[in-house]
Amino acid sequence: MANSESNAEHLSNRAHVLSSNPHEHACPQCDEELLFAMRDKHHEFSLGLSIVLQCLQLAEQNGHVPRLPDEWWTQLRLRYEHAFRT
Amino acid sequence: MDVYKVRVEDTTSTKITAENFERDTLKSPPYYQAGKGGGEPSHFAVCPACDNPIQIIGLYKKLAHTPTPYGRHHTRGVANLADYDQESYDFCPYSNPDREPDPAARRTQARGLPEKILNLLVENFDSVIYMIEQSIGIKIGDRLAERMLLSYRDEQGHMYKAATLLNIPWIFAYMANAKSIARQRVFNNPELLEKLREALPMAAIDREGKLEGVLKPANDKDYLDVNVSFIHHRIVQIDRTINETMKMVVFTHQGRQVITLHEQLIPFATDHFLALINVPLERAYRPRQGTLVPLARQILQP
Repeated sequence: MANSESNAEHLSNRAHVLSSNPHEHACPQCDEELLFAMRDKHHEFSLGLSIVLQCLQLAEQNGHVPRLPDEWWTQLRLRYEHAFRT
Repeated sequence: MDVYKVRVEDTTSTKITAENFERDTLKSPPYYQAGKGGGEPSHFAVCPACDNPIQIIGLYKKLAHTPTPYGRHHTRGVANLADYDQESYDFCPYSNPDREPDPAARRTQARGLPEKILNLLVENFDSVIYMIEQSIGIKIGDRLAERMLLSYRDEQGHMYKAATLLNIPWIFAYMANAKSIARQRVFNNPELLEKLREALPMAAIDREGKLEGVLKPANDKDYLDVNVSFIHHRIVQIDRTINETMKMVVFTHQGRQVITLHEQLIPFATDHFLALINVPLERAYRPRQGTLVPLARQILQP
C-alpha cells in the first residue's frame, strides 16, 4: 500500500508524450501495436495504445469524457479486444 | 470410416485398403489377431480422429453391402494398441451423427485427447497458421495470431467437443471469434479483394496489383474497419468419408449495422495439414517456427 507521501510523489511525477505525431513511428504495413514515447521525471518509456484505450474507457465510465457511441467501442473490440477484458 | 492409423502417437490418416494396411502393419499383432475359437481373424487399427481402437471390416473378404473395407470403432480397448475412451468416442465425427456441432459444447476432461490436441497445436503453431493462411488466402501477422491465441485460450478451444486430431488449424480459427483483419495481407483470394475494392473505396488494397494487397486505408491516418469471423462448423459424410467445412464471413459496419462483404465456404484440408506436420524437422521449411511456437507456448501453456 502506498503511503500518502509516495502517493503525492507519484501524482507529481506526470509523464509527457515525447512526439506529437506517433504515426511517424508506426508501421502502416503491420499490425504491431501503436506505441507512444513518453518521459517522466526519471526516465523515458513507451505506452501502448491498449493502455490508453483502457484509460479512456475508465474515463468514460466515470463521466470524465462524453459517452462514445457503442459502435465505436465495437470496432475497437474487434481489433483490441484483449485490452477490454472484463 | 475410410481411414486409419497404426499407433496412437501417430499424426497420420491413411486410406483403408488391403495394400496400405499390409504395408503399415506387416500383418503383425496387434493389428492381425486370430479369431476366438477358430473364428475368422480380426484386424485392428486406431481412429485418426479420436485415438480409439477401430476394427477393420471386410479387409479381405468382400462384403455384401460394400465392396470396400471400412473401419468401425471398437467398443473396448485393444491390448497393446489403444485404450478405449468413451467421451472421445461420443464426440468423434466418425461415430457421432451430430453434423452441426454446438459451438459451445465442451468436453468434461482435459486429460487425453484435448491435451494432445493442445500440444500438437502449440508445437506446430507455425504450421497451423500457415494452413489457415492457405485456406483463407489471407496472411496472419504475429499480432493477429496472438489475439487468436488469447481467444482460443479464453474459449478453451481444445475442449470443443468437435475438436479432433485432424481439424486443429481450422478449429483454432473457428474458436477465435470475430477479429479485425486491418493491415493483414490478402495474398491468394482475388474474389475477396475484388469485393473489398468495390465495398471499401477508402481502402488502398489495389496498390500491389490485382492478386495481392494489404488491407489498409488509402490514407494512413484513416481507420479501416474490416473484420473476419468463422462460423458454422459442419461435418459432411459421403459414404464413409468425413469432410468438414466452416464459413468465413468478412464484414464491416455502417453505423450500428453489420455489412457482410464476403462469404466463403472453407473446406478443411486435413491431409495437407497432416503431411505438413509429419515432415522431418531437418527437411522442414518453417520460417516462423522461432516466433510463433514460443508465442503459443507462452499463452496456452504458461
